[in-house]
Amino acid sequence: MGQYILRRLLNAIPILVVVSIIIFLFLHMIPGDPARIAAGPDATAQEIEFTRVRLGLDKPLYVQYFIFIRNLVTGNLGVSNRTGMSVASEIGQHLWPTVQLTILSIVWAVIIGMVVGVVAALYRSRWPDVVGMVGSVTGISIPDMWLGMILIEFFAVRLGWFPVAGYGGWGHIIMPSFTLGLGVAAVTARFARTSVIEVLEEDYVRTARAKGLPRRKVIWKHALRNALIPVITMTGLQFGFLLGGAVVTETVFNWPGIGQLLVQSVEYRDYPTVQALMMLFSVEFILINLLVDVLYAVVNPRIQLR
Amino acid sequence: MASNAAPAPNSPVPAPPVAVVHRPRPWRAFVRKFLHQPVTVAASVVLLAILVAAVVGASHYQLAQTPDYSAVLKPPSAKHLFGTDEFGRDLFQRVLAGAHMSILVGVSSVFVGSIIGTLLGLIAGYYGGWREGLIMRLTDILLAFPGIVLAIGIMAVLGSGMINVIIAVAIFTVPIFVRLVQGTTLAVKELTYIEAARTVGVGDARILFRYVFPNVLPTIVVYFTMRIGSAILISASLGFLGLGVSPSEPEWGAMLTSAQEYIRNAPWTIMAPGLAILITVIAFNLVGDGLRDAVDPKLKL
Repeated sequence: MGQYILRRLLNAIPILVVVSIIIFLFLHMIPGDPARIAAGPDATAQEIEFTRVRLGLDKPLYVQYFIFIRNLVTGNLGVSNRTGMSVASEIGQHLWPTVQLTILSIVWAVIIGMVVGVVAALYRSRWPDVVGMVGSVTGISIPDMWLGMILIEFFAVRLGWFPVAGYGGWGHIIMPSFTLGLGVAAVTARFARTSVIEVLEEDYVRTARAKGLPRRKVIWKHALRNALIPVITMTGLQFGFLLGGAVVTETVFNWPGIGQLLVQSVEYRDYPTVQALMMLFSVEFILINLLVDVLYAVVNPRIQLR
Repeated sequence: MASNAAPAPNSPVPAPPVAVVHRPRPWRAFVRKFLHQPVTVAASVVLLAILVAAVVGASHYQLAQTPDYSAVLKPPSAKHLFGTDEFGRDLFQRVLAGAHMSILVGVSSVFVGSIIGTLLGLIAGYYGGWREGLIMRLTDILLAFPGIVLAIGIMAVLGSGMINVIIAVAIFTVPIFVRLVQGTTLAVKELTYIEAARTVGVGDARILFRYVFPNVLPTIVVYFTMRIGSAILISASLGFLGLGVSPSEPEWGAMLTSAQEYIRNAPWTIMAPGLAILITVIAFNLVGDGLRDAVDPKLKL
């Protein structure tokens, strides 16, 4: 196990190196003078020259890359063109709201997905199954921004149950996390349904029924427990994708996370922040996927770690 | 084919029923299975209607962009089926023109992405070695960004515009097809008849396209359909974030952004584009599901 984790980490290094090269070249791929671009749209000639020296843009490309990496590793991510704050503290402020949002979304996804999936499986081919699966296809296909707008209009504006948007207490996080989690819930529901149907056809479930155990007990003790473990890990696999999905949801709900920060930075051509965020998204995504793979193997010993 | 059947004898008495031995016809079996799924058939009809709307929508661009300041934010009526927006532009026309844009972006980006991905996947799976190593690492790199973030990064470099959205979504689609095709190719190339073809000296290119590719094709078709749904969602999201086509264009995502301000007094402004996206993506997903079940019910996607 330790060996597997080590090898996966070592495998991730070349990927991260290439990703960092691409993100580094980002400034040079945009048409125009990189120093002018990095200094921001409102920079004076003096500021542009200062940025050129600070980022080492007057030096050869490979030297620039090493400066870029050194700055990344030491957390010296530069200054945001938009706010004038250091990019590191900017990201620090926005990271926690996104973490909160994604965790609560996973909770929604697991609860809704499992309940719908299990009910659909137990009432296979009857109306709860049909309703559940229609809901699942809709959940996969619904655009997040539209769902968010409808929730805001109905539950915040008309009914006044939740605040319209913004960051704050529990009331603020309910709707955005539901919006973000619904897509994963839909995937989870499908997976849970298949898993429960498969387990219900297993011999040991038939044996349990045959020896006269009540249906309720068979379902809860024998079937669901075995069926739902892979479902939980499957949902974990989606966690990384929620990071990406958070971009749209955070924008709709004006949620001050790193997704919204990314959109604002791109709009404002605040490239130091865009570069740092792209790197952060990538590192997070790779680490989370590694973590989920390892957890999957821990929970499910039949999986061979290769 | 009728020509394969025994020729009807020129006798007044009908020939006694003969047990005609049919060769297995995968195509016919596929069509039968496909048509046996009422949901899939219904979704196909809806999808067909959307495709027709997309074709018709191309000629409605001018109408969709024509403002009418005497009819600003009017609710749905006989004159304006879906109502009008803040410039008095007819939302029905805009949704129609948007269908053209969304379908064009969705289909062409997935088309480009799937062709590049399939070629790379075939090469990686068939040849192995350094080619496989290089291609699969490249795939890992493209997969190192969660969801829409890669597309946002590409748009940040390229700037807004429809061609750039197509490029961004195509790049986003490539790694998915590489993985898919590489996996299938690995399995197929071990089959005996491929081995046999190689032994008798058939060239690599011919083996790849005559023997390997047909085996991969059904999976590609299923994925192709489903990915168009995702591509439309991604491009609508980019449009909504202001990073897609120009915000003034009749694009479904961009329409949602401008409608956001008027949702209070004119909720129909978000209903038309939102439902258009939802119904289109559902249709592609359901048809994809149906294709999958008809091709191979055991296929887990």
